[in-house]
Amino acid sequence: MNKTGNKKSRSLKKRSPKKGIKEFKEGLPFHRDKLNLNLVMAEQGEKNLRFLGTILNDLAAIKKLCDEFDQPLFSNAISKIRGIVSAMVVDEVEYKIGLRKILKLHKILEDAFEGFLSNSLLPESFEKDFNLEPMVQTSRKKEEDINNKAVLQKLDKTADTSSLPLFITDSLESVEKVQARLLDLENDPENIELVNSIFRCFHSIKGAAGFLGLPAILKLTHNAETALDDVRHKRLKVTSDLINCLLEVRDAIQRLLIQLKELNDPSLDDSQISHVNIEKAENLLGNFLSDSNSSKIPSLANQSVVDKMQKPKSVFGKGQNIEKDKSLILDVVRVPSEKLDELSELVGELVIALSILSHNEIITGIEDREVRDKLNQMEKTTESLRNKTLEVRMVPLEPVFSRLARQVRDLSQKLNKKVKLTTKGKDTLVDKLVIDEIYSPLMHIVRNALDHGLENEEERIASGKPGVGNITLSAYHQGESIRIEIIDDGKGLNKEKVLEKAKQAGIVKDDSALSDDQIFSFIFHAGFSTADKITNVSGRGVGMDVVKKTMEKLRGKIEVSSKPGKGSVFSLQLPMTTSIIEGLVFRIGENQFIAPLLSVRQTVTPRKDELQSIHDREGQCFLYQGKLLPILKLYEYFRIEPSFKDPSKAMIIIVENGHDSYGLMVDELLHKQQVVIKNIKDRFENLHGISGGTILGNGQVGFILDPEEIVQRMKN
Amino acid sequence: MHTELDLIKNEVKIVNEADLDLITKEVKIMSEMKIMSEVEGLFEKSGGKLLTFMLGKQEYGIQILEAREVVGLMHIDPVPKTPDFMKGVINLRGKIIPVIDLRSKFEMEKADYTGDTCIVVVDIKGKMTGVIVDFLSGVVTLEKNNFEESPELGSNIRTDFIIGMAKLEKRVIIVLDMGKILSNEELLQVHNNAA
Repeated sequence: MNKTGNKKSRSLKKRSPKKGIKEFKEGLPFHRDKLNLNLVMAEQGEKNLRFLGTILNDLAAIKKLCDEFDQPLFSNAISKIRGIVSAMVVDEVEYKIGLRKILKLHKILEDAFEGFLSNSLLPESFEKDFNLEPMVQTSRKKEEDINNKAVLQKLDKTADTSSLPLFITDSLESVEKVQARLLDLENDPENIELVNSIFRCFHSIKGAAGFLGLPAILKLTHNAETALDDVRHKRLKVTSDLINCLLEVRDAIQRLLIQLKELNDPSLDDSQISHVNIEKAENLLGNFLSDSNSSKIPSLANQSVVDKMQKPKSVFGKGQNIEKDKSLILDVVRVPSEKLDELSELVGELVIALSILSHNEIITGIEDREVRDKLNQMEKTTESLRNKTLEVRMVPLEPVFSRLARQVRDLSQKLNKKVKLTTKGKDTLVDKLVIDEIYSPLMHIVRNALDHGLENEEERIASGKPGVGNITLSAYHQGESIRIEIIDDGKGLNKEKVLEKAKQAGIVKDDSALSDDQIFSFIFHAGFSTADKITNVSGRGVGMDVVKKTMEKLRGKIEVSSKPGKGSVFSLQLPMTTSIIEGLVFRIGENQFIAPLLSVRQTVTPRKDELQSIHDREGQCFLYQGKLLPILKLYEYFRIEPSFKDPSKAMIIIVENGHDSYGLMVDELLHKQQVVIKNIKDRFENLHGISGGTILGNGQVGFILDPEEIVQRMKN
Repeated sequence: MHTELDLIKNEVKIVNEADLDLITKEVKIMSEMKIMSEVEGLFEKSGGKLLTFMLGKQEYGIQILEAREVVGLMHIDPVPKTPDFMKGVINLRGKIIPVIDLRSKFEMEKADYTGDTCIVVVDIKGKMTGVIVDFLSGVVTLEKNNFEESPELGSNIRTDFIIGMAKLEKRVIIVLDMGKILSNEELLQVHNNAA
């Protein structure tokens, strides 16, 4: 807008006939409005290829118009925007970053259109402004691109592919490390140890890439090394620009590696994929190389970067680092994760078989001491075998935390909020399966905390808080479970709005007795988060259903507490492993079920005088610790003929759902036992209320209850 | 998702829903063509070999490659809230496998289980299911000229469950399409009706 203020305008009339301009002006607004609309839509959500497609179409339409009426300035500008959009489509440019750039450029373009439409004049500064805007370039460095293309093709055909998979996994691990260290470095720019460590990571990738003949990666790592070497020798300062650039180099390497992985995957159609990916890589490299060079050049203005890059001097320095590195390498064997899965399944079966054996009547009848001793020994060995197997599956949370740290960093820059992220317990071990699943819910929570929880600097200072917001990620073991907490010191959840919305949605009728925590738990309610109003009004709830679903899948629990003005705490409780749970085995009719011990509060048999009838139906509720609890008759839900229909003869398992308690009525409690969870949902999709199956000590199949789902379904 | 992506990658011209649907359909048809028809599978993969069994007086056959093993009748744990033909689940060496009763699936008369009753474990695309049959009669090898596709049958069996019919001397064997009988849609459809 400021551009229109000091514009020195020039006429474009000379270039095109008058009639052309008129028609151009008539045609433009339609397309421009359409483009605006689509951009606004795209800004609202996650990456959506359809929107990008329509945006590309809109741009193409405008470009056609510009070409027709000979407006090369507009036409070129639009081509540039199109370039970025195309790059976003194929993931060469991160969606959010790309979108931000497009919006900036679009704004300039918009102002120019405005000026042009009102007086046929183009702001003089337009071309300059537009070109000054740092671009995500895809067209420059043609020569290099061609080289890289050849490079990757060559790799495709001639490289020794046998050691490639190992290289890829190794290097992917290294780039993860690089990310974590870079973020650490940003907070601690003087720490030369970190610089060395990052250097080593890049170097090990570089070494292997050189050996395998992957010049693309070689070049990127080499450039990164050069920059880091300068940092080591105090020729270059650690600035957030440098970190940005190194992060981008890291991303580029990571993407190249992922592409390599795809190329190397025999199950994929080679010819198709390699083509796309080469182009991808080629553009990528162009971008990031130029980026990394350009950001280095200003700070090294008086030294020739190229010279240094070719100096062999630094190579010797690196040699020593390799030596150091070696001493740090643990003796590690790589095992494909599916083999681990098979192993844990087999061990699970062994545990079950042994348990069946030791419960066998004949065996239990044997009094012989030696047999008993051996059996005991076997049980102990099997137990520790199982524990060891589970341990093998455990991996530290670190990669998840470092990805989140990156997310926080990028997002805080985008939102222009100052945030300090503290992570605690990144070495906490969790099951591999949990690692794979937990990132996305954590990301949603962290994103919400940043976007809606934390205030911007002025607001914070105005309310007497330090200008920099705090987000803490912490993980620790608590008994048999793992706790992950996300704590922010922002403005907290808006209780009234949540409650209001919950009432609207009919989740809650009577709000008099609700505690704060109870109210906040509504944000996880199915369908609650998707409502537009809550996200606009209170700004919370986006993606919370994802969180809830994942937690259900992992058999975990989530709690939220919040204080207005002080911030919120999201606390996730996950079982140590997803393959084994501690359960209470009970019986209804002939069927045996297992209630997860985590959700069982107590078991009771109510006295006759504690039972209450509702609506003339007997035994619907019972008094428990002075409160009236509803009795959910599982035999009715599962349509099983039970042994007892009278609650005073049956057993009641009290479970908690959110903050309410319910009594599940069953025939008989059998025993407490650890069970190996087997998936049966793929065969019994419609079996609601049961989360899996297991084989019990007597060889019978038992069904693992999902108390939450049962309560949900029986309430309705 | 992939179609969408590919489309856009090929220098987007048009992306609207109707076109996408069309393309999706085409891709689907093409991929269906690639899948070998059941009859081809019977002769090319299983070499015309059938595992045959009796249900009442009628002999049925399934492709030998689909049969994983045959086990005697064992303890079956009923699964709550499932249709009648779903007898329950068995513990087959630590694996939980659903078992259906073919008689009740085909809406035939109920019969008491005898010493001959057994469970044929079939493997359809890695998913194992047990099938209760009256009596296992053996293995036969078919020639193409013994085999007739989509024959006329009485109303006691749904024709979409069968691949065809084989005639061997005096025996008439109905060849079942286990993939279809045990498909999730088929199982779920009845679930819903029962629910």
